[in-house]
Amino acid sequence: MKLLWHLTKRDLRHFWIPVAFLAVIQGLEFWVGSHMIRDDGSDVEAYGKLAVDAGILWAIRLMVTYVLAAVVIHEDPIVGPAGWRTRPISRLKLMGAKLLSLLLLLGIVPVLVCLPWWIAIGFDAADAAHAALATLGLQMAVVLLAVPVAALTNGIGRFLLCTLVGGVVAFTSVLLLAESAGSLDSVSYWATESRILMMLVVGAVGWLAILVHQFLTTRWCRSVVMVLVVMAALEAVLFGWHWEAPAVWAFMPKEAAAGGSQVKAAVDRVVVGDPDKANALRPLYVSISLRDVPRDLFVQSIFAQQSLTWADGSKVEVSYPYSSSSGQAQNLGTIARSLSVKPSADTLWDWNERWARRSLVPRGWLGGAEMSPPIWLSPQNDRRILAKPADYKATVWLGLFRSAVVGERLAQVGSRFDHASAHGRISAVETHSDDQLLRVTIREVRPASYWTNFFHGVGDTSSSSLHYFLVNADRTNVLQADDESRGLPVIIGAAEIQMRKLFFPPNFRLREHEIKAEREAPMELDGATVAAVIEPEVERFTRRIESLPLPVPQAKYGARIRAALVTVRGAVGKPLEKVRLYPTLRSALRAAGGLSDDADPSHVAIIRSDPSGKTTRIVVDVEAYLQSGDATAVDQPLESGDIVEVPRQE
Amino acid sequence: MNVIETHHLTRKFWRNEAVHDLSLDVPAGSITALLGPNGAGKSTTIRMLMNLVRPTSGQARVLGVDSLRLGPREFAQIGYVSESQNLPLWMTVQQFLDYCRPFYPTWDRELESALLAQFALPLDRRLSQLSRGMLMKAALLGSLAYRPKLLVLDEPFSGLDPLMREEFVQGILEVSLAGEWSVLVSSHDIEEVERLADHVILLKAGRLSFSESAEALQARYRRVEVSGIASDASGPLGSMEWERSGQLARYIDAGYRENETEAAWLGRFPGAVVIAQPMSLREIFLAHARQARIETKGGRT
Repeated sequence: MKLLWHLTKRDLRHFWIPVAFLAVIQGLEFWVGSHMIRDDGSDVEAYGKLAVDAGILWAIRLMVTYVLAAVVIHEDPIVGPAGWRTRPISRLKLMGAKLLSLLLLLGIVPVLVCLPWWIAIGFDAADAAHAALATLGLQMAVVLLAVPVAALTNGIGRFLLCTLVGGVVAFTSVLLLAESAGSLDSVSYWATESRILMMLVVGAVGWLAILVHQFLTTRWCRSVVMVLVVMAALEAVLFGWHWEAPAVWAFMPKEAAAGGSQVKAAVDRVVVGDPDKANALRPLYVSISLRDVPRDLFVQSIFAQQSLTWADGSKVEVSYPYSSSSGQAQNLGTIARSLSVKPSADTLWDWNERWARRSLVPRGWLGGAEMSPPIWLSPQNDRRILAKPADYKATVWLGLFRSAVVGERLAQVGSRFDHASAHGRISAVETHSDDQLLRVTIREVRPASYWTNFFHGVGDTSSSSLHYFLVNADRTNVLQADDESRGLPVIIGAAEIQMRKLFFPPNFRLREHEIKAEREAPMELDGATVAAVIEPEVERFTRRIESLPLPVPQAKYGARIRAALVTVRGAVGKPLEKVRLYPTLRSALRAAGGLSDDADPSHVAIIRSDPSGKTTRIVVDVEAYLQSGDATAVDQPLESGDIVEVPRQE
Repeated sequence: MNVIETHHLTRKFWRNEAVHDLSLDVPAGSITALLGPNGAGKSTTIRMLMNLVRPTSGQARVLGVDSLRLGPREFAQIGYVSESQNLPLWMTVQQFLDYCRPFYPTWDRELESALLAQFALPLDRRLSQLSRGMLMKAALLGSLAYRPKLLVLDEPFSGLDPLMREEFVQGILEVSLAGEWSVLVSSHDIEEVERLADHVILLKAGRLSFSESAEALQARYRRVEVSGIASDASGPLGSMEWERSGQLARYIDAGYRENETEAAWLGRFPGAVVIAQPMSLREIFLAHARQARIETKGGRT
């Protein structure tokens, strides 16, 4: 033990300057972080630049850690005629000393450097412990990645070369694996992701085996062979061994494995008309309250997309996000531009129609869960509209988006906040009243080096604004945003009633100066009241919303789904021949690029042959799914060898 | 009693055989010179002995232990200094000694001080700032202060200027007098170890030429000049560098025996006059080196 500490002390003495350099990088991160915390998010561009700076510093720190780990190992190289090999010290002891040195230099020291920062930004003991463990975890993960490579090389040049080659091989493998999954289908993607995750685990175990073997024997050729054997064995144990191409295994929710699950949310009530008359340009106010939404679901928003056409032919597209600083501002206009479609009402609707067919989502789901920005009317659009004579034709589309439940907790300043990759304490709760919707902005301070915040920049000491739409547990009607609600204890999540308002003006004209709330002055349209025109439509939408399938987002990993070899042919975007896919009809159709414009979705056939050669033809009405959203039919499982045939319209 | 024994030791690097079927002994208490021209396999042999390189076949025993099983206990009794050894150059001499000390329970502080004074090493200077000779001295000091039973020096003189070389040899000789250790020193130049070695091993192209005491070696080799022989007379079996000019011949006799060599010539040529002169180790080594070159050229043609 004395000797072990003796070697460690030597490393500490030798490498204090490079470690001090590491600390300087951390200091710069804190400097950027302090600016980010002070930033109120109003200048998105400036905030973005700071975030980029923080990300660059974070990357530099990890790279320096990686190289430093190698330099520490190379002080007593495992390969070559190293001095230590003729000293009276066992390899195991040397390995212990090296790991201890690396732990102290590249793990503990960065944590100690971070400690004052964590205290300064208000972490309590639990936060600091969490952050310390996360920092230590990431640093040591980088170190463990570097150590085997360093153990196989005896110079920094070779080490970097091996890293480069290893990186290219890993990157190529991931690409090939993603390619083998077949498509951008979210399910296949998840299957791929699971596989990549498991391969990373296998790789990590392999690296560890190299490390141990290399230290014990110093025979690197044998180490590599041994590791290949270990990795092959693990691969076989974890994924099963097949003579064919590696199967894509997925760890999926049990419900999904059983063919999908639907949860319905009921509409509680619909209010037509603007209850507070706050905006004269919003006379056709529809408020829908959802109830019985399961606690594990969260309906993020129902949005309206609106196009106003005046009598003089001019047009205003209301296709901007309500708040440009929301951080979720991926608006429909942006999506449309990226697809080279002019975001006019007609093209958007057409695009939505095509998108629904291609992506196999029910019509009206503009964007779907993967692209789920809420679209809100913007104040500047309001001004533009006000400048016009109020004689217009308005068309509105509705969409329902979904996201995972945030969970039930009090959102008060100072309370702890954990959601997905964000952890921290709520630093501000704000309300916005200009859309009569209570919206609470939570500014959370991310602890430095949070492990779980990996993809957003571990070590990022920034704060960021997350916006959640909240309801008060005790109030079920439309909340008025006012000063009273500021700081209210609210419950985040869909366990309670979620309020949204919708504009729903079907095609009709308003005369000038006749823009009023429905309940105050019923408007006429061809002799009928607005309510008389709207209510049937509202009812239709109500039915629609009730029947929309909602996912079960919580993943219970355990059910193992084996991919199936499936052929998809006919009127699809990209016919597939025996491609390994997540085994559902919807997944197969998505992988094949969705239905083409001339497809007949009502008679999609699954052709299945049993071992005796007998063929069965199962016809599925995908059109019904597109209409109703009932995914039972399209989520039915496929078997290996199945052929999916999509007929063309006659 | 031998501190090192090898039996049919062979090492191949891919198709090239660096050491072939080497069997030799290093007697305990001796200073053994492992000689040979560059590429003869000296360093490879020493690396196999130190378990830095694994033999392709054969076996080596160091201090009675299979070289593949050398562990901390054995290395605590072995001092190893090599020209290619990685030393922590960022350390000062003092730090280097402080670093080495805890490894060895038998570290002798008095000997350390004595050697320091003898080698005149500046304690506060970094190893990277030392001259090559000083650096080798520091390495030697780090390998001697714990009184190893076996000291292995791999080309320690390489790159040293004559003055440094002299000092270094002097140093080894002096510490050898004080210790009870065995020394194996490899070199490609006999001159460097001539004064040191009491046992000599010569390697030629990875093969053993001879391994015997310096005394026996010098007794066995003579530069012989014979006059009064027939003009077509051939050299005796095993003679090296045979040259003849009329009735005068010169050669190196590798199996010289006093009186017997003279008697053999007189038997063949009764009027022959034989003068046999002793040879230095350097001359013997050079003769072997030249012979090796001739054989290599012959082999090539």
